[in-house]
Amino acid sequence: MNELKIILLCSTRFALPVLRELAFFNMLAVVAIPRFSDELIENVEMVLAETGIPIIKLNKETFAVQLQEAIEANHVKLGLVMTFPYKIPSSVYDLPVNGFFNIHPGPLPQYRGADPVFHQLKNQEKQAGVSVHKLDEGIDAGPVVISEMMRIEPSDTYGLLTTRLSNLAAKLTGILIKLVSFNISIPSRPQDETKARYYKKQQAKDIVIDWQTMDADSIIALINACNPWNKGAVTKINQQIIRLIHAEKLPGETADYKDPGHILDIEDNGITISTIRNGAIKVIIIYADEGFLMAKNLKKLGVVPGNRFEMI
Amino acid sequence: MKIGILYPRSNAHPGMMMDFMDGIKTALKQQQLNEHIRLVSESVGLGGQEKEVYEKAEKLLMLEGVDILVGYLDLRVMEILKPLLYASGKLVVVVNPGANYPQNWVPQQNIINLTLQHSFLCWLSGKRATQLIKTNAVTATSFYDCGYLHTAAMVKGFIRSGGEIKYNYVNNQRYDNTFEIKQLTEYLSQEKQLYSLLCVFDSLPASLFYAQLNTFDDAGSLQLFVSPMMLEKEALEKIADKYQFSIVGYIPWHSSAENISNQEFIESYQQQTNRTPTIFSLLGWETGFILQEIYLQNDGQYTDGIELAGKLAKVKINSPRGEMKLDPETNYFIAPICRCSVKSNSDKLTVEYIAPPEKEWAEFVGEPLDGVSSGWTNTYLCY
Repeated sequence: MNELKIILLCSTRFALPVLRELAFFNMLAVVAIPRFSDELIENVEMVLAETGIPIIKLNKETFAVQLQEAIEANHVKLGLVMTFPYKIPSSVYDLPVNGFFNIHPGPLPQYRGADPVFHQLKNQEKQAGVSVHKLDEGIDAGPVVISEMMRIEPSDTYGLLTTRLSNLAAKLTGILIKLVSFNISIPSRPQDETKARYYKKQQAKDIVIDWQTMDADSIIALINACNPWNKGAVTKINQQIIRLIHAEKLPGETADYKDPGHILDIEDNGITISTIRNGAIKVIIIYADEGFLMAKNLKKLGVVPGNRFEMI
Repeated sequence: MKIGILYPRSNAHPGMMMDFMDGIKTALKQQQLNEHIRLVSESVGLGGQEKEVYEKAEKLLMLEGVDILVGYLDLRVMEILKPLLYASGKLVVVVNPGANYPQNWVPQQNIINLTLQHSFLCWLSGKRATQLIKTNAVTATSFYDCGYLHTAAMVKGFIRSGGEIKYNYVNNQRYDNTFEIKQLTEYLSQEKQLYSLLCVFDSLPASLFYAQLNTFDDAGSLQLFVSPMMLEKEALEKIADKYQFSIVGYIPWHSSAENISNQEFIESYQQQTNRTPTIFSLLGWETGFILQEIYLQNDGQYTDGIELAGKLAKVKINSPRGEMKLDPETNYFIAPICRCSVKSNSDKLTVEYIAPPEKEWAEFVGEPLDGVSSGWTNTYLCY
């Protein structure tokens, strides 16, 4: 088993549990990370300190050549990809004798694309998943080896769900590596193209709260999907842009609620905002130019009950 | 319909596999389906060698071309089969006593699970211990038994309901006349408190444990909450005297159940094998009824395991336990259970039949996972 040398391509912390396990079991030959992922590089350098495992910093223009060289120099037999921004050519993924596999933080083919964790949360899915598939010329389109779903908990934010999925990814990677060690043809199943959906990396419009169309559940889902990477979902009040980081849906309906987006109450434990369909949410933490704040501190910025949040 | 069966052997229960296979055959014969449903089986030894299990499963699916795979396998070993089963798309029925439970209850949709619900029943016993007043407990188990998650389930059920574990006792001795529990009884003597004992033992060590504990001076003040195997006949029948302590626990099935399915099961099994059915025969019999349901529902079309599992979730299976149904959230069959008790200074087992505890099941599978699991794992199919 120790002779199986692996290259890991990654750009986010989703890869860290897998990276730690591979390093622990002495299978990690080399890690390749895009040069722009400063924070991850720093983190990986810390994890791999004193292991002697090289970290290749990839340039967008030359990454394919860099990878070919790294695979050959380190006698790599298996390639793993975990959230990688560049399309990998066959001249790279055909090199390792045991192939190249993508460990994707979403069910396939339903959640192809760069950031399925965000979209699964935003879409209010009940479950999120990880899929391991063989690399081919498509994007997240190769035959699936294994896929596993887990419940999305009501308290899951983007950060928490990513951590849980990264642990699931480590488990599935362990299964893949065991199969490789059996020296068999790895079983897989082609994706059903009729169910395929590709999600582009989220744009500015995807992270903005539309108080006129989004109900309380949708708003909470968006807030969770934007926490922590975007410091929350974006909205505007009294000409100031703020981000809502943590909020809860208030139970039941009340006829007292005014138009959506109105502040109904400001209390020590949060601010109550009306939503469409006579719903309401309680916002507890926000981010503003002044910093991360308890929502009640909006009062210090001149916000009072009756003021109205708007779409930017 | 061609069925592939992966079967293990067990050192602790040598008759386990014969009972299981005879259970299937008896059920199919009783339904006059033994001419229509063909069984092809492969031994997987003790069931712990992943590569061996994988190769046998691959052989049944790819070479034998079975329509459905039945695997009497532990969950941890099942993990390595998941890519193969996913690629095949066929329905897989995983059978085991349920002493382990998954870290993630969301199922691979073409895999369904038939168990004796042992972990769940242990969890219920732990909860029951807090309901019967005593909130301090000592756990008592064996080195082999605590390699399964049923011990963790019992402790979890107890702690989550407000209990507190004061002492953990793990016996690592041989199961013969040298077996003793001195370390445990010394602790109980020193503490001088009324304790609940949360006990998880297989039937043979359970009989030895009961015998030793019965001679303890303060045995009359102890209340035992026990795992299902500790309520099996083999565990209880070996004590000559009355039990000084009281015993409470849950079992998946008791032969005295007064329903038609149970009567048919016992009569058919005895008639065809000349043996008394066991819990392993029960699992085989129920597997046979699941196969019957699939055969009757699907008119020769068995390639889509997800579809077959979906159809099974809409029907009730008449089991000797009572009406059994597939929980679509977890793909586990749930069934009525029995609450058992032996009063102190008695030797009479009282059995109370309870409808499927769906609310408690939902609570059990809905518990957040802590993300930490024991490094010591037992994948032998003793359970």
